[in-house]
Amino acid sequence: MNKNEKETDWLKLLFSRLPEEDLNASFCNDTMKRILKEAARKKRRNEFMGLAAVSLASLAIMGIAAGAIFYAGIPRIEWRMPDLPSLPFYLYIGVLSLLLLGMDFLLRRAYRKRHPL
Amino acid sequence: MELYSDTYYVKCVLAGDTTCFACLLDRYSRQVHLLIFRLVRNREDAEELTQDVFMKVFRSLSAFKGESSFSTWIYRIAYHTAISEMRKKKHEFLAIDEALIENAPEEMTAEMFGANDDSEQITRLETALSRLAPDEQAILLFFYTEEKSIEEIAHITGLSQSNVKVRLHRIRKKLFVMLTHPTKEQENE
Repeated sequence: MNKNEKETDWLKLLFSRLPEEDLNASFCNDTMKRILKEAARKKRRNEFMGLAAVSLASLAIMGIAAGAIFYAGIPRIEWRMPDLPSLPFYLYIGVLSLLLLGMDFLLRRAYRKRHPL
Repeated sequence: MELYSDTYYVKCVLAGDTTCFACLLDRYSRQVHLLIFRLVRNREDAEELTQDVFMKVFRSLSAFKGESSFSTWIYRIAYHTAISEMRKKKHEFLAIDEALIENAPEEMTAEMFGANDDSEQITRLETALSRLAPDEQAILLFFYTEEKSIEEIAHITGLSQSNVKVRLHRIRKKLFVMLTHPTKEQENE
């Protein structure tokens, strides 16, 4: 054994005699609680970042679409009102039906008030 | 659970199973705590710093690429956390004359020191350690108590392997000088 090895062994022996210090019994539990909290916070932050990214991307797409339609005129959309000669008649029938339904509702309510079950 | 490797648990945690971190914590908390305790010499501080180390490990787990062993990676984080904390507290460390270190007769010192009784040796070693700079203490502890190789110490401390060898040799000599030339306070005790 040379001089260096002798010294190393001697020091190693001395260091091995240094007193040990025990870790608090609740250390792992306490740390895991902090870790789980941190994981939940990380998850929430990731979810928020994901939502923010999707929202931003959607807004950007909507902005580009609006710009393309209203300013650049891409694609060209032409709106034509269909020719409907019988539209006034159908409107008259619709309004009449709504009126009759309304009257039916009011009369039934009045009847129930007068003849309760 | 002990059968699984560290890398397996790291992958589990990264995949979202946070409870697997408990296995890594169980495996390394004692070692990391003991190292930090020997550096900071305060039970409460050591526990708080150990917890900080594991929080850092958890936060930067995705940065672990397996270039070194997981234990070396944890020790690297523990080393930097403890050193920066000790530097914040600005302890005063003993400056020793270079000539005294160079001329330290190591072999004779070991024999002389070996003649003292056990508890006195430990007390003197603890005092001498506390008078070394934090990074010097850490290098000694890695080498003698954690039994890390020069390569691992280099990886942990960020020094080159030759630098670690040179520093280890010098720190050892410095320690011998401190052990054989006790301070006035020690002599009074």
